[in-house]
Amino acid sequence: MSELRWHPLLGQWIITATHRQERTFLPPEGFCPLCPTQPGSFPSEVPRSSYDIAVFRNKFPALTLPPAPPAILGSEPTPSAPSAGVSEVIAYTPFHHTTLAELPVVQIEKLVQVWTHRYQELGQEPEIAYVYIFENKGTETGVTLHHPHGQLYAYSFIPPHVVLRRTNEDNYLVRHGTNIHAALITQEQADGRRIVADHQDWLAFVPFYARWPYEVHIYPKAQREHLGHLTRGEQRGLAAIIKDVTQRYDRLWNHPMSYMMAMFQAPTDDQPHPETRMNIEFYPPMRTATRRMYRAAGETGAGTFVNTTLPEETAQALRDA
Amino acid sequence: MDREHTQPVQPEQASKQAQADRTDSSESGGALPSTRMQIERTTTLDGRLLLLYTFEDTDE
Repeated sequence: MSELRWHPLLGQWIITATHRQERTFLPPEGFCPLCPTQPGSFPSEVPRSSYDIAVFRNKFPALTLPPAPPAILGSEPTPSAPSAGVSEVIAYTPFHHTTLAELPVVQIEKLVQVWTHRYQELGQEPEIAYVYIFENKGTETGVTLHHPHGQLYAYSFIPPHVVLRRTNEDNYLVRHGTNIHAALITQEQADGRRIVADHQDWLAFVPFYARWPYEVHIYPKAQREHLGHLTRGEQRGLAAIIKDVTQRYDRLWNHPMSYMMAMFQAPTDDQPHPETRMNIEFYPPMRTATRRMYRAAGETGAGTFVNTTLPEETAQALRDA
Repeated sequence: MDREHTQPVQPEQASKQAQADRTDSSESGGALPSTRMQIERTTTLDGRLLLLYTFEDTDE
């Protein structure tokens, strides 16, 4: 049972997906649904004895095509709508006991190719307005499967944070005549204190306005609206800087860092988007090796984040890691 | 199921995954082998779309 319900005060769709209560939760060894299926053993989501990278429609989807009609019809001022869209799982590797940080650059580069293909193919669907690629890693983020994997949601609408970002991107372009992301990159390069990794084509930094401790944003140095605009060298460069940043996370406290990874790209409307630039943002929930930051009443109710760390200091710690 | 070929891309062969090499993460660009991403479209056991990606060297 899944549907969209309109939140009239925040002006955004809320997805109900009651079947997701039943999804697989931290299965024991030998019962991982993302591992290849071995002869005579537990049948996983991938009925092959091996694979390189696998993508499949989520067994417990928040969004589907075609969508089911809403189970409960809304009315003004709280309408409902079918939860049209696509929910996919992306298994990064057939190997269970590894992480994105531990994958070879060549494997992450393949993952970049797969991300690109999913963005482009799903973006061609007339029902799809925005393709959002993401990863939750570690139990602190609520992950239910430890096998290295990410997900994507292909929405039939522009999700609320992206709407807000676009508003500010558009406003900055109108007022200053330049892309806000280019301005941010120029600012960080000139300052230098918040840079975590500076590669040939990519830059990673803790933003001046970081909401989460050890938050890191990765940007292409050239104007690229989405993955499909990357050159071959930039694809490999993206893989390399993802590995660099995630390895720094793991070295920081000498254990695998939990994080939420969010990828922002242009909407899939076949229109130019000079106001935006693709980027990847990492939000680790840990503020120390043993203490996590909660998205509590201040953050959830008022939308105001209180970051108990200084971006200049966390960037230094990550540079030193 | 069907197979499709996309434009050539640069990832190295899948077999290199097993080698678990730890390539220097500071590398970027450079001379890259020409490889092709192949996609096999099939289904999970209960009929959901399943895409299996493989990467083949095309320098031969």
